[in-house]
Amino acid sequence: MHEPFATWILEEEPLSPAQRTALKAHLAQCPSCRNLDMGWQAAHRALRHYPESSPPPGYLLRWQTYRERQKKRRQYQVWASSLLAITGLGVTIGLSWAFGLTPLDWLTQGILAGVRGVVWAQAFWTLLNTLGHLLPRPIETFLLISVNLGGSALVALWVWCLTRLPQRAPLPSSSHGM
Amino acid sequence: MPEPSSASTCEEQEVRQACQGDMAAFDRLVARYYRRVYTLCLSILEDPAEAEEATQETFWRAYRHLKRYDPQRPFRTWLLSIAAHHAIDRRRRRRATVPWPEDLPTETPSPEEHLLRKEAHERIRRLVGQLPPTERAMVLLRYWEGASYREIAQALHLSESAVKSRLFRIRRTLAQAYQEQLVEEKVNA
Repeated sequence: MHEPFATWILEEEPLSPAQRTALKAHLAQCPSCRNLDMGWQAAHRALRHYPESSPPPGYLLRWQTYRERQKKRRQYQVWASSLLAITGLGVTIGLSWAFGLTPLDWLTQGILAGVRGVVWAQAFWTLLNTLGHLLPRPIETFLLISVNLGGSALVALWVWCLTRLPQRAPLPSSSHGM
Repeated sequence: MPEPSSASTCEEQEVRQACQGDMAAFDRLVARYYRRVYTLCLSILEDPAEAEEATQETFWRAYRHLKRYDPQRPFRTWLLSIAAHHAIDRRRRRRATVPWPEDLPTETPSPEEHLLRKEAHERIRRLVGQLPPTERAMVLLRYWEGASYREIAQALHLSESAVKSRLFRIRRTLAQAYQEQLVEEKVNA
């Protein structure tokens, strides 16, 4: 393909008068660029008049039925999640009352669990470092690289699994105009 | 500034009413755009039954999120953005191809015109159908719907520069393929 003419043919930005003249002269003598130009013009025209298809008759009625079904489903979801939240709250309050725990105790337990997790992670890392120092240098490096790579692979696998879960697609934001 | 056409004024009014909870106004918008939404979904999904489901879901999502709609933007483009995103998402979860349904019947042309038009429709559908689903959505949003690069980028969660460069490649592919197809058809004829 002949550059820059091929790019100019497919470019959507307007060309300068000099570029337009040069392109016109080139098209007059180059069959391959002329074909590209004609091909794009024809494809562009066809795309603008892309044929509309229609679902089977009675679509609007089916839409209304669908909408009503979805509304009911949504109402049911709201009820179910409210019921679940209330039940959960009730169970929590009941257990707190049974064991004589206050909301502050729950909070403290939560924080303690978080701290415990961090301490465990640090202990594991220290253990790994100590073990590494006891081993010859190449094995230590190999061990550290393996652990890092293994950890990264696990995280990547976890992220990949999350992205593969069926999701409800978010709506495109509509903050910009044409 | 061009004067707004009566159709667009009517649409704006319907969108406003729908935003205020007027179900009948939203149904009128559905009646106006379901063919367009369905066509886009069908071009991506290639299965009429699934395209209809995707169309229903598109309208349901639009209905639920009407408050997020920016009136500065064409309603139709917003709707088609939702449709493109949803159809691509559905397409990713399955791979099956089903033949195209018949075209929407329009005014009655002569048999010769009808044949030529049908051939042209088949040609462009075949070409668009050869593109990957995201690129199909891109090309239809851009050249059929007239969406801006920014709108396409937002709809398909891509950067504007990615949309620009991919569309440039698509234009080249389509231009070459279209020309080749025409030559092939002439040879066969």
